[in-house]
Amino acid sequence: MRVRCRRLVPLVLVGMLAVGTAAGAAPWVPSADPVPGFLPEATPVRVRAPDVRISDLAAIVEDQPIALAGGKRSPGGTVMLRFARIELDQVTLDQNRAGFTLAITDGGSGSKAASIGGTGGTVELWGVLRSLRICLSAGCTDVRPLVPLLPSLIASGRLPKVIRGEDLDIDIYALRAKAPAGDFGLRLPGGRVTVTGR
Amino acid sequence: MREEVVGVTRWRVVAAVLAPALAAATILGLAMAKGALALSFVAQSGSVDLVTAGVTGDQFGVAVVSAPVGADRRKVPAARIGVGSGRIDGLCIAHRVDLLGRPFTLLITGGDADRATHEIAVDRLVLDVTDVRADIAAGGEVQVNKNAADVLRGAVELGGTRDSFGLQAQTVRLRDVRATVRDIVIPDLRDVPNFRVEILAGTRSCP
Repeated sequence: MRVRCRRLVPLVLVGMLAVGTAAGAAPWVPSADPVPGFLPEATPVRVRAPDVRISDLAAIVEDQPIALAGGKRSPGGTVMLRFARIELDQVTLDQNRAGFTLAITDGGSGSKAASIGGTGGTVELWGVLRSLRICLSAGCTDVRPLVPLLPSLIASGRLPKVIRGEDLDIDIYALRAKAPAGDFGLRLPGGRVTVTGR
Repeated sequence: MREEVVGVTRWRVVAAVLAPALAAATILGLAMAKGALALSFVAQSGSVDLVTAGVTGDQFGVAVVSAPVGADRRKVPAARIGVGSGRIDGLCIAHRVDLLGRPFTLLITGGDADRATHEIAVDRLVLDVTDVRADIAAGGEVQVNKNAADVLRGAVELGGTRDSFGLQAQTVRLRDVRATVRDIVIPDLRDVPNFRVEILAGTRSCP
């Protein structure tokens, strides 16, 4: 059954794409904002969460390397994602450096989960995806082979408003979140920040 | 020590460290001018806890730094938290040390008991922490993994280590903060009701 579901999800997406293409979907237009608007640190932050919920996915673009501190650039496999909000259950953000580890964690889930962005807000991130399984009606499947299909699906408007995902593991080089006035773009209700020498 | 009564508030003004032995473990500077306190606390040894029910403010930054500690000034990594203009809901700092083989606690407290108020005004707050737990909310434009050397507290660099992690946001709200800190700097600490500085025998904790 699991193998059948894995094969069904890509077929469902291709079907959605065919319908969307027939309907004359509009192409995605890149943002006019500077990319990403600040100089990121050269070492990415690794973000992991067993369950996530992405709202209003607006863009996913492959091969978007960005400039980093020290004259470096992120890898060629850097993808840019744009969405309104993401909720992350039991999230960990960590960065291992020579001599120490920085960790930002939040053990909350569901209504107490950490979140980035908000309704009416915009989150943009540049990172290298290690793993993410997206869950649609036909089951859950690895998103990485499907990335080339997603821009057209997004433009067609046929993706769910909230996409559930599993096993998120991504190296984020830069993240920028803008929330509506009076709201918060980053929430860690049960947050913990540690710096540990190694 | 000299006591000064201002209105209905009794202030105990401490101009220097209270005992030579304690001076080896703590550098505490308190200065008072025109009703405001400048607080600088550097822990040379022992553990230091900071507890506050809440912090709100703007010009928020977090940056990894290498802070010298101990008599040998060995550099140890920490997360530096900066708030440009903010308010605090109650404050407690507990520094536990062993002096001459006996435990003592330097306890600094202030604030009212009302959770609805952020009664203590703080500007240019800087904390160097190794462990902090809180309900964290950052607003405005939030930038994550910013080069730490570029992270600002207002118009001033936070002093982050180049090529290290940084986070920048325009506003911040922290609730139920419990932190293990190395350094605390509050150049402008105002309106602190019930302010006390005590040296207590034994191992004490913030409530």
